[in-house]
Amino acid sequence: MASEKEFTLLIEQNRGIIFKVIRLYVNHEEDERDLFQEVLFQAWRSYPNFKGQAKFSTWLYRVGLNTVLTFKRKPQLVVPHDNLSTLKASVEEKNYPEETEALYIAIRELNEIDRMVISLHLDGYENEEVAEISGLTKNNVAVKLHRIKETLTKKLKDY
Amino acid sequence: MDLTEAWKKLESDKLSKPVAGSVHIQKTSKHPVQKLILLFKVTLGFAIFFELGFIYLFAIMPQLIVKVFLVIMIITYAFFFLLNYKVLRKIKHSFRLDLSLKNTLKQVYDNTMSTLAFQRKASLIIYPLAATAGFLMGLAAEKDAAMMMQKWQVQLILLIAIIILTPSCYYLARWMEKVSYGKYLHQLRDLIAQFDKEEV
Repeated sequence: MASEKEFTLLIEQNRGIIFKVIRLYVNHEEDERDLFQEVLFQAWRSYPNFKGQAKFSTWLYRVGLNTVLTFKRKPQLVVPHDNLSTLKASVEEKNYPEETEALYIAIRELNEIDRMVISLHLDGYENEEVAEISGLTKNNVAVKLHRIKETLTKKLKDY
Repeated sequence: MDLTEAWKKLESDKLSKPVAGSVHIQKTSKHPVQKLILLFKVTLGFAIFFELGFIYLFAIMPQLIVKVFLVIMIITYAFFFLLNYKVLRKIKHSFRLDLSLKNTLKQVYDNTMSTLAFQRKASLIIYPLAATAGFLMGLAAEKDAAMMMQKWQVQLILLIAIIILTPSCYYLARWMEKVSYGKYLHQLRDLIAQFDKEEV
């Protein structure tokens, strides 16, 4: 039987991954809270299957993505400036740089699978690992990444 | 703009912002599949409750025709109990969120669909039988049910009750299913389609 104390410690060390996955897909406060608890629940439920072939962080990323994407999510809130074309007018109110907000919006405009692929890639995962986590083929990941990067670069260049 | 650099900034500025809640493992889940598993357990509980009720009624009801129908109900419920249990075990075994996303999505979608389809098919057999058993018990409370059932008017009333009740209950259940799972299944279908589109 896996130790709850050991598991909690691993989660404490890697909980940034859970926050990140949730923030990439959800901007509804109630969903965020529910999903945080749900990812913990599902990770704990699956923990006996974790044999240590992959890093715990990779495994948690996978459980987090699977949980968020298979959860019954509420319709996402539409923020008035949630579009690159109207961002400049409203970004002064923010505490973080414009380019950060621009990237966030550009990523949120991608479809959910593309969002997962690019976030894993930008987090330093190799194409093979991205393929394993997503279930796509390695070639497919490479093709997708190329296209997503082109899309993002184009969007951010205009900005 | 360098994407990797911008991503690092995005992570520290926005994505790493904590979500409310402590690292505390709750014992309950709000996941739709977990809710389906719970629904199966509740159904199994009800099946046991009804089986016991039918056995009790079988013991106290004196009329043969009612006893025969109660035996049919007991056998039907036992059969659906076993089928429910089998489906529940399959779902519990296959519901894993630590495998690849594509497999997980397909499995969650298939499990949800097959569970709902199973409940729909089962209800088409259960509703008419339950209506008949209830009707006979009602008759037996006042008169000789076997005698009464020989009258065409009584048979007609039973037939009308079945014709009205079965589709009404069936479509009510389908509507509730749509309200509870319609949007969720649509969300899963969309994600699976995003995967499949890329592989053509």
